[in-house]
Amino acid sequence: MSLFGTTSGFGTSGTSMFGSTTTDNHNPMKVRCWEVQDSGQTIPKAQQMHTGPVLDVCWSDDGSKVFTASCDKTAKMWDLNSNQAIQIAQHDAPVKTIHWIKAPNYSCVMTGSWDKTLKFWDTRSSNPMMVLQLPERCYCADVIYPMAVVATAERGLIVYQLENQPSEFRRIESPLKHQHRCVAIFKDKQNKPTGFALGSIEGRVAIHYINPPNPAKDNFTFKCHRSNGTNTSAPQDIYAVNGIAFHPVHGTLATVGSDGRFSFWDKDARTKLKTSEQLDQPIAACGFNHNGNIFAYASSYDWSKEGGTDRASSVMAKHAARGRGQTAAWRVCCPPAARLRDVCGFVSLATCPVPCALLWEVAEVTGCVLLISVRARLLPTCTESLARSAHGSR
Amino acid sequence: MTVCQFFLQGRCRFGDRCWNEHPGAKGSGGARQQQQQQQPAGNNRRGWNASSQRYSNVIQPSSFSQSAPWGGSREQEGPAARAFDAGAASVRSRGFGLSENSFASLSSHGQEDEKKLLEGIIKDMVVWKSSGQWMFSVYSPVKRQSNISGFTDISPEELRLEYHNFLTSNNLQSYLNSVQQLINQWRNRVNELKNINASTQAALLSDVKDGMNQAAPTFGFGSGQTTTFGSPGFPVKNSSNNAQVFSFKLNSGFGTAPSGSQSVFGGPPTFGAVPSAGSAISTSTPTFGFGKPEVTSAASFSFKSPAASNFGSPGFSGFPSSLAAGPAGAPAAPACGSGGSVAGFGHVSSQSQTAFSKPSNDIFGNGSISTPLPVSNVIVTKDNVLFTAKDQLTAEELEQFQSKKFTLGKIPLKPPPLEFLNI
Repeated sequence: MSLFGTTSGFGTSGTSMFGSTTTDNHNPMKVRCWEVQDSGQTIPKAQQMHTGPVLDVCWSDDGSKVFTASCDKTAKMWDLNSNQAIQIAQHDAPVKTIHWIKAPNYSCVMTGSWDKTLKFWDTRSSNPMMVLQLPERCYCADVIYPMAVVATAERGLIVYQLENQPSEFRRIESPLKHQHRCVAIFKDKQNKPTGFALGSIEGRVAIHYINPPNPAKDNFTFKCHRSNGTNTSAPQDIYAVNGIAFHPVHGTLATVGSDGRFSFWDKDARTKLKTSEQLDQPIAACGFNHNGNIFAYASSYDWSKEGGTDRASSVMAKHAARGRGQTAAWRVCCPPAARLRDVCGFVSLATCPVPCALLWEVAEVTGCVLLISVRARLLPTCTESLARSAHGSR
Repeated sequence: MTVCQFFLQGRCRFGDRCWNEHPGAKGSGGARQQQQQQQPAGNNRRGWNASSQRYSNVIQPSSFSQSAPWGGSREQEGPAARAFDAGAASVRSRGFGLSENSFASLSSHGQEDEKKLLEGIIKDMVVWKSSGQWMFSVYSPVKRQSNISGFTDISPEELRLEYHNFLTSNNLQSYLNSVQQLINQWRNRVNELKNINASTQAALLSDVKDGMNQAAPTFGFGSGQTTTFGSPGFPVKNSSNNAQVFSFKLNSGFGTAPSGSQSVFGGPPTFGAVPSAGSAISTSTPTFGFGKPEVTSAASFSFKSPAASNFGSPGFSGFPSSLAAGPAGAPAAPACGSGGSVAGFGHVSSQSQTAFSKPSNDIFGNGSISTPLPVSNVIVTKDNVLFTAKDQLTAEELEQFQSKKFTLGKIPLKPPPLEFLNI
């Protein structure tokens, strides 16, 4: 099956590096590391293997290791310095989320899986440090120490606190009516996690505070990624919210959806700041870099329509929010997937928490993890000023 | 703080809601020209009030405006909101207690609220159909409450994984067939909800109301047909204990928690079993004291552990706990049935009734059992929910279904068999 090992198009070195378009049944899923230069040329640097599509990726807090969670029911730790990948986790079903937790007295990897468990792993041991049960399959999670949020199937929503030891803090009744799709924690002014944003397949995001002074007023939901905006009279197309990311400095949030757009919002002022133009493909994942200067999003087919089609996939970055949200479009990773078949969809994107040359890693359905580095100079192709609409927002 | 440039130019739109500094002119800031209507909540600089700041492209507080057709949801916002005040598990149980009361009030408010609820459901169904949003999602008509039966959650990634697996086994056609079947089931269910008649109405209302109190009888998964999933009526048993006991599985029985990791967490070796339980039950501060809370939670779990042990080690560590956890909370409740079915899937073909084994075999044939889990789960349960097998109906019920009209007093409580429907 040439589906998983692609034939051509990754950088200039062609197939030699990733070659082995195997026809055997194993189809090892490759994790690829790229370097992207100013000119947009991409150079492959390294590769690792997974035997199933990769569903989530995560950086360690020092930026030296990459954790990948895959449908082959394992999670691996990829040490970038030594270019070694070892398995650190095992589940009974595909591992959907993976996060690195760095606490004062411990550090571990948290994996959430479709086997309805949440496991915490010390990367040195093959037994989990802790196993917590989920009411249903884990669909998405987010961690900002000392809080973790997991959203499961059947509209389950659980908040964990991670101090001392991970434990369930509260089960929350879902503020949304449909399937949960993505979740992101936001912080308050004192940089402490105080709530989360939850996105569903129904083009709606709920902002939920953990201990608000006035829950009925402070928690709210808003509609997004719909074709008709807030005009509810005409039938509108509703798209799933595929990813949510919060700006590390300003606290504004970005949502990306199946409609191929991304939007920036200010949750405190409850306004929409900006919506992008529509891309030709759904946007599957997004993230800000460590200081919020760059916003990256990955567009690819996300299975929102049940049939599959061949499309190009690409990852793009926008130089975002310098002060007041000036944006620039800069294409990071030109469609290497242009020649890939539809299975090469992007699923997850993670940004490195420390400033370094390697910025993003993007997980593909084929089991590839792309590490994308950004050179110092960005070449904006267009600029837009958000000064007015972003005025006063954080 | 940064000095506000607009203010210096005399045109700051936010006035004293502005987060930048207005040097020397706090009082006069509010008088500046404002492009938008705003209430004089000038002191509130953060704009917390949903109603005070209304910009031209404001995010509509749709959650509030749409709650009207749901009737009872307003009452439920109140108690649910109060439940958030103190945080932690004790509040949760209080919150549930309150919501249960509000359900009682729902029924006492009677017809009108139900009508609004149903209208809301119909509207949602229409939107769901026409908007092209993701089909395989659970749905609940009222935000904080339980899911309506008949829908299952399949995430796009799961479906995609199915696709891959079928692709590698060269079995694309069966994948397409099963997806088509799922789509048809979804469509049927949506149509059913859209065209609500007496029987579905009763089922729906009981779904919504009883979702909190007892998971078992009203949920399609749990309605006595759980035996087919290989779980001897777990949800029914647990229902009496659900609200107060938020299950947190004792891991000790499942061999996944190590005993040697105490150094990390500074607790006794068996932490894998207890602390999660302790913290869940014993409320607010998640202490890792392995003293008393341990004891009480163990006691409260007692009914679960023997039950769990009945299953030996099914190989799905999540299985018994998910059953146990099932009725504990609204979102968890449907999971109990589906949890059972997931684990029981491996056994479905051996234990299930004919009605179930047929579809699962047809669809998946020789495909690997483990991977099509979510999909087959749906198929099995759908039959369960929507139709009953002919042999399960009494003669009288059969007669009722076959006659043109139901006679009052003899209306069957179970859904009609598949064969009787003319689609």
